[in-house]
Amino acid sequence: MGYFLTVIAGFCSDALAGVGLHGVFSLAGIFFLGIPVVMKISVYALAIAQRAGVPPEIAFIFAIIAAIAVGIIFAYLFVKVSPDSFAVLGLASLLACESLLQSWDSVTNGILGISGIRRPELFSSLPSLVIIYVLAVAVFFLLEWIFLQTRYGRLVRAYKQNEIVLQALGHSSSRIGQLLIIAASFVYGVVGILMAWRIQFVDPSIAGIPYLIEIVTIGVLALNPRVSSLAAATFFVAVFPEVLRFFNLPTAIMGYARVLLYSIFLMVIIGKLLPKLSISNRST
Amino acid sequence: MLKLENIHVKFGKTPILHDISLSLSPGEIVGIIGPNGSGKTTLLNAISGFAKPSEGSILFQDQDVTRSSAFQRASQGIGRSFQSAGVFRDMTVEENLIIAIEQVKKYPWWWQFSRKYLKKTAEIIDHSLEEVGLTAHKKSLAGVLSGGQLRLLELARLGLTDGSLLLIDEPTAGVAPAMKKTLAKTIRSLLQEQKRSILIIEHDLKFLFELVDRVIVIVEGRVYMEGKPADVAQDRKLQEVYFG
Repeated sequence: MGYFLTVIAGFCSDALAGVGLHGVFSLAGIFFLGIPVVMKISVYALAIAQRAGVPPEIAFIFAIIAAIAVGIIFAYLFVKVSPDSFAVLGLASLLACESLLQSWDSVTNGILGISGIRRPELFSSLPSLVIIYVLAVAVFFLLEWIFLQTRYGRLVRAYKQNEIVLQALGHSSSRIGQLLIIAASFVYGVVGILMAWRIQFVDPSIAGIPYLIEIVTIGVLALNPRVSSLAAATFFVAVFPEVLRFFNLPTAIMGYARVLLYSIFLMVIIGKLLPKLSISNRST
Repeated sequence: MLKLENIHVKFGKTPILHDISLSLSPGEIVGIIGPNGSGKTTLLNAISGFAKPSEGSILFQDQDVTRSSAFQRASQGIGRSFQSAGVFRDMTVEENLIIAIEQVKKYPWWWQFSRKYLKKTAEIIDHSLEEVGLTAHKKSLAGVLSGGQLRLLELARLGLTDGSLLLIDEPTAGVAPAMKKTLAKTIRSLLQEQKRSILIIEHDLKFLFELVDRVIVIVEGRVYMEGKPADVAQDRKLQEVYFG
């Protein structure tokens, strides 16, 4: 039972992360690779606030504010640098953030991390937390479905295809990109908080490059502007590594084997499928 | 309507437009011609905000828009089409038009789920597609349309914007001769319906001269001559410059 709950929670966590990446990466084509930074900052904000005696519900609000604040910084940088530089900036900030969390012992407890993160009373047990996860996924999927039907959903899709034409129609493409980055940061704040409540522990390696590879795999697979394709991509990526359990691999290398599998998978998708999935044309 | 005063545009240190001054009155349709690389598209880019002039000023409806961004100018009423049809190819023909309608109407987002909105939008789209003969392609992806159909779609979308000045860049490029009549008819209807002004770049002089009130010839980034189509067509200097 515990195993299935963990798999469901993992699927839901990936699904929520997929919602965040779907808008900004799959639909708009913005390589916002700083998403793990948003998660790290939000989980640490939650953990530090709780360690200072703040109730989990109030700590949640602090963590969301922290996530949005980091999102605003990224949104600001988005209009200041080229798209390629923005992708590199995201990755570099991930490494910088990890180093900061490791070295700022007095606040973050260094590489030992912060343990004993409390869940709110309402979902203190794993089954009740999984219910919250499922509800959160349902709500976010519904919100994304509504979003895709509205003019904003259309504008995001148009943004990826032809930014210049979008501007010629009177829309600020920079603002669209910035709003998407902030919205994705909010979603990643939620993902981070639920993750921290699930494992009740944070350390600087949480939401690192392996996690980014996993999430980007979902984003690449879910290129279509449909919630169903996002759900299918998430299901595939979350359940796919479970086959490793049938190979009696030593426990110590399981984590690495998963990352290796995702990386190979990502290369195959990018090399073989991506050209067929997209007919985007950014030029005029 | 539009007044350009001593516009200079440079790409890096290379000057593209030198001291361009021109004006456009409401309801007027003006053609721009010139050899390849003479700066015609750069001129449209400068007017629509995609290229920043290094000197000079651009007045649109008596407001200085020289420093405004492209999307601000579009919001103020400067519509634009592009040399290679600027449509959203992964979207349906219908969606391409909806984007323009939504920009103009600015309904609240929840309205988009109301029957009234859907009906009203469908009526506008159907009327617009009927005018350009694309009704059968309403649900098709724009990416599968032919070059001429893409042009018509772009013009139909331009017609749905509330732009009072339309900048059209080489509408007949890559278009079959049979479709040029439909394009000319569509461009005329854009002009007549809302008393708009149009600035149009075109290499097909026959097509252009039948359409415009006035022609401006640009050579090496400067206004070479200006006049009525009949006068311009007979100018020997132009024939030397334009046809070699």
